[in-house]
Amino acid sequence: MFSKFKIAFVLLLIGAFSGLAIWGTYTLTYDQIQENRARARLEMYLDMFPDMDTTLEDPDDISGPILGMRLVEEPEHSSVFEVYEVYDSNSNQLGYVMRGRGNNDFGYAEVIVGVDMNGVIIDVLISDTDNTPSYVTPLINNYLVNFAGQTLSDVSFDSNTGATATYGVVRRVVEDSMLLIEGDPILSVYQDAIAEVDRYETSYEFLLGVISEEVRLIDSNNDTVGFAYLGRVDYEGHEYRIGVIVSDDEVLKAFVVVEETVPSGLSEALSAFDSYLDQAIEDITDISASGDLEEALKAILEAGLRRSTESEEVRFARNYFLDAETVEMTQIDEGRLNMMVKVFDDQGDQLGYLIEGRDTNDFGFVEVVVQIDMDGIIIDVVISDHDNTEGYVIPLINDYMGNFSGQPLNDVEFDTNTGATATYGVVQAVVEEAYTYYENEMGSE
Amino acid sequence: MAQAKAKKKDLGYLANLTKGFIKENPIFTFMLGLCPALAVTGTVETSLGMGLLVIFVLVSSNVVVSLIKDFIPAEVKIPSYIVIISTFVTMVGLLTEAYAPALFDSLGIFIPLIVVNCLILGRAESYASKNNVLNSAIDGLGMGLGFLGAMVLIGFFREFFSTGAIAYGVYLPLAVEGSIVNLEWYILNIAVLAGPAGGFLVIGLLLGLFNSIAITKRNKKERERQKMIEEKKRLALERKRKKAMESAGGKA
Repeated sequence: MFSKFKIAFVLLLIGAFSGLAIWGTYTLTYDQIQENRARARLEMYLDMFPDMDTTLEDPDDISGPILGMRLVEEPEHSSVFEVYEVYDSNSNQLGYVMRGRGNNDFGYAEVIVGVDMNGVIIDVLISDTDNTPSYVTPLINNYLVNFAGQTLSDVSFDSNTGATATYGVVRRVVEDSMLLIEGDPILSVYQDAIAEVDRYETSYEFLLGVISEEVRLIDSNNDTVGFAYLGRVDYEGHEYRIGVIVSDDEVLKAFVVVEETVPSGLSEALSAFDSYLDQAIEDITDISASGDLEEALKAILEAGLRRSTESEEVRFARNYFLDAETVEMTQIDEGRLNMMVKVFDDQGDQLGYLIEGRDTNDFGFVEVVVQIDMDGIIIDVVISDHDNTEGYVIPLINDYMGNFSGQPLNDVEFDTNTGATATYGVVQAVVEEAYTYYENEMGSE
Repeated sequence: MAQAKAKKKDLGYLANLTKGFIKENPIFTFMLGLCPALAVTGTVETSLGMGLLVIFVLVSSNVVVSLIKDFIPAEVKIPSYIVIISTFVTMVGLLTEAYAPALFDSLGIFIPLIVVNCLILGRAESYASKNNVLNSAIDGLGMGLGFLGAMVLIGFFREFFSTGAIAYGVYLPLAVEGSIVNLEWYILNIAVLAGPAGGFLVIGLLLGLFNSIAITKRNKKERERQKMIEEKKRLALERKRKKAMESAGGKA
């Protein structure tokens, strides 16, 4: 007992002295570090706007406000956290500076975007990061320089570096800067339908069907005020995103094109559905359409309305069986399996089974859905969620997961090329357990 | 006699200081601290900066570990050492950010990673926890200088042969600010040495060179030893023969 107290006491003492030493050094260096950071930022601003007014509000405090930089906005739901207007000594506005920050797998990166009064990017700089320097330096030297001179509303991002984690943060900040300076055209589309909308976020991505995305519309109090269901339609050789906007009390508010420019033919076709607006969804039946374009829009309207009322379980089933209308769900508490879902169409005929399993490997978790038809043949095996390294999972999905389709569940040939990978190991185990469960289930029926 | 023995056991201060330079060099002999040796030796100055930071942490942690070694229970030795080391690393990180911001930016994540430099924990565990404060401090300084020397050597090869120049004053607040030693050896502009692969190449080549020198030296010593043994054998045989002849003469 005494020895345990001694250990605890010694550790406490070491921890206390350690904390004291760090606190002392922190206090000693705090002002200098703040000054260094402010000076470095000021140098960056000056590189972008050489004529800016650099007069300090308090001449003794370099980390304090600068007269030529006026903080105009501190967005809450954006990677950009500060927007400044930049002025010269005669109070002429020279442009904008946006400070943004984002996290990636390696830590964080703080990015500064400078834009002139014509919306042209002056420079994009990484002002602070804890990402690996040998990744960041080539990015700064070879790729960030390409932003200068581009129009903010039409930035071309580098496809070679697009996948790197640090560039991903830069891209998010540049895109959010564009939304802040130019205004978000998509947001104004949603605001036209439901005035309270303050921001929006994708809340679901559908794997099958005409509608590909559910967007949650949020007001300034963070409450959901409606949903948009987005699909695509081809018109005159161009693909347009068409959305059905439904309020949170299930009333159809709008049927819109989520693009900046809408051709007149398309908006005319849309207006054919105006009579359905402001009606409760359950009352909208027998939607009429004439012509190919109207038929395509009708399909989106119907699918959007259907998606807006479906339950979580049906939504899950429809990601695999598009005609799913009702489901019977059985929770499984065996091995790696979570649940089994029997899927039925609108006539009550069973379409097949979905068996979901999940397991962890050295890299995290993998969730797998096995889709089986009524003859016990695998329709598909899908990795529905995971936190394994994308670089390992994507080739698996592209090259190997498709090989399951068409194989009988009782005699699956697993791919020996990928058998050794940790992710595939989970997939294989779930498929094997799905077979055992399916056999038992069939035997009992 | 006992005093002489204790002295010998204690190692002379000079021998203690210099053992890390070549004979027990952390990088080229013990292969410790290879992560920073690969990652931040792109230039002489970042190598120098990292070497200096490691010396500070190594000496400080050795001193503290040696001071409190008798109070730390055996069960929590390693966690305690790690807390002590990480304290000094945090302190050195803050000091660098305050007084050498360019070096701080250039070393980035590798400053906090000094915590896991096995050289530092290795010396705390194998030396400082068994020796007095002065010897531990000297050991830390000597090993740190050996580490710094190896880092600068690698940095020199990588920077010079990839750029044809050595730049000073870019990262550290050195007296000569921003000067460049440019010998314009453009023919030696081997860009790959500046990248991560260059670290492996240069360390591999230097390790090969030092090992071959060490092996040549060892072989030479061995040959000399063999020669000496042969000579001793010959002398012994000669003495034996002489004695035999003398005893034979006596009998006659």
